[in-house]
Amino acid sequence: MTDKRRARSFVDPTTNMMVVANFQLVEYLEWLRGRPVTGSRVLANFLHEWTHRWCFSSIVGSALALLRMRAACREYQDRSAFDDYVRCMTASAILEPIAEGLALFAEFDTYPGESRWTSQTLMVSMLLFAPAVDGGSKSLLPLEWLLQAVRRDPLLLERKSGIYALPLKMENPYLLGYLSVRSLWYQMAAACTELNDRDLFLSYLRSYFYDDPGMVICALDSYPSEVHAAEAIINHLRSRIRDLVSFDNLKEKVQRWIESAENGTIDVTSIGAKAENSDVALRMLEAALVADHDDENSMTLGAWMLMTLQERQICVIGSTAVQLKPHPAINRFNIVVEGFNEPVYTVVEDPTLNTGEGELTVAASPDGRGIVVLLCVGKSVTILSSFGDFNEEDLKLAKRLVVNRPISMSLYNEFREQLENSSVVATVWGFVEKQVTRAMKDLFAPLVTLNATEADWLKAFEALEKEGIFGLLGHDGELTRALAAIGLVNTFSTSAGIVRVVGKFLDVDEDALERAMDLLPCCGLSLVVRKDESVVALV
Amino acid sequence: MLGNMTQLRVDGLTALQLAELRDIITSTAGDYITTVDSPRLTGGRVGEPTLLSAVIMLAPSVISAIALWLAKDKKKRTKNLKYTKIGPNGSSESFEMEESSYDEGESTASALQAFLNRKLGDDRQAAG
Repeated sequence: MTDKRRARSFVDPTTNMMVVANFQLVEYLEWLRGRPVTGSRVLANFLHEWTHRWCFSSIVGSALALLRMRAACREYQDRSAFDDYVRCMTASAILEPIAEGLALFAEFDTYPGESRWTSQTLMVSMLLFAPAVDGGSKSLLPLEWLLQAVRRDPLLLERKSGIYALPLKMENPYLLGYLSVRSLWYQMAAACTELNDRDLFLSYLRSYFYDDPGMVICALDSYPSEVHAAEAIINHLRSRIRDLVSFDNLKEKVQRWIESAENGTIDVTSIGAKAENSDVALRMLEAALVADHDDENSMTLGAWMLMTLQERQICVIGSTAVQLKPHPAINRFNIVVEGFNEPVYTVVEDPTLNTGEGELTVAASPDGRGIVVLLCVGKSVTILSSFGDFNEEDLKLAKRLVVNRPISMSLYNEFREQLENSSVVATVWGFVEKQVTRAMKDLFAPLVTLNATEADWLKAFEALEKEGIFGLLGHDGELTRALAAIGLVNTFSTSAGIVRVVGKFLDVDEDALERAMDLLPCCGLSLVVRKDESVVALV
Repeated sequence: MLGNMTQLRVDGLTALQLAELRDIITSTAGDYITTVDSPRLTGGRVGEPTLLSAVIMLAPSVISAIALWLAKDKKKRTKNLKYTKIGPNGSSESFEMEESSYDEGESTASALQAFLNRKLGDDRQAAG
């Protein structure tokens, strides 16, 4: 179940550090021993945050992380930092609605589909949260069960319908991004039936924007000024969106994308990028990493950036301070978390562990196919357990991360604060940001209203700008919730009968639900498609 | 004048709950929601949508509107909200809206209004 009384979950795009609010490590480790059939309290947030991580764990994510770190290092060394900062902020700002739209789509919509492809988000969710039940020939059945439980949760409905009441503002990426992604899903699935598989759609769209070497080249290329750089980045995204909504050869591209993704390396031509740009982008990334290496200090900072870029591939799911206490009967240490009587693990006595205190960390491999539980005492790291597929190289990286993390994070926070407090950087970005915000409206208004008629899309957009979907629906809160509920049920069924049944679990007003299923377009924007006993929400 | 009024802070609202609350207060009393707090994540971080906090200037008609808003919530979607009364001198007092605290055999709306009057009404300015 989702929980409303909690702190906020987030991902830092630079370090790719993920925080899932209310994730209780000890409780989780206890569950992990037997994987009993219980719902997951944090799954909805996890789907959201892991999707962010997955986006940033890409060539575009790495390039933007590098730019932000290099700007911070330059500021620290009293060098000019605003050019890097403006590039990073421009790309981050224009991609933020996409990032949030994908994350919300993962939270509210994604579900195993008919294709053979499974997204990283669902794969890692299965590994971390699926109960130990035999799904027979349907290996993803436990995950389907979990996702259905999440989508029947009234608190998730409240969270989703809350997004519908946000006015559509460029500085608020949630409704802007979610409507863009939902509209794209409906239109792209119409052009390529394979994309009716929502999980495949999520994966392809994420790849389209974040595996794009052209964006890396734009972000790192030479320009006369930071304003020119910002313009180039915006124009690149504009051209990418235009190509995407042309739906040219979409079916064939998606097929090629699946084949290449299954082989482990994306064929970038399947996302409309130029093949030769992959090498160019990688070379530019390498060059950017060493661009400032002109003294010892710079080389040290360069080494820190490289280390962070490598370690950001590993995801810390949760960590906690522990105490090591001698076992009363055998030559082992009990690993105890304060406030809990029972030890969470025991470990063989070892002189390097004899300090009494340490840290317990659960970490995921870069592709989310492996999980490891690590005990870190001083600079010594012990593997307590692991499951899934965690290769030796990634394991070394995970061990290095848990040792380095305290110092690395404190350095990063110090650099980041100094960069954000720089008046020069703030002034230059303040100027460029206004242009970026204007450009975002041009980029996203047509996307958000893809399901509106040609004559009405602007009217629909202006109505959404004022009061979101809640405004479009005449300030009818129950109707707004009912519309959101149809979308949640559509995850696993388009049957009006099932919508009615699950609507009861979701505590949706019955009359509002009937009205929502028969909604006519509002301001020319189609919100629902109803055909006999089939109903599909478009937002 | 407004600075001397008692206020109610409601924490944990979704944007939809806030929009519904605003509609009901505006239609029965006027624009009494003075502040909406929607903290952004800093440092380029991205994450889940935040829950909102609203500060409402209190007047008798506003208390009636809040009682009506709560009474209309038959599905108990507002059960996790947190309420804090803020006095004109800045003093604050948090309270829960447990069903048991206002169920006195009256209709829900009257019981809620009576409960809110007890909790909020004593030292408020009679501005409504």
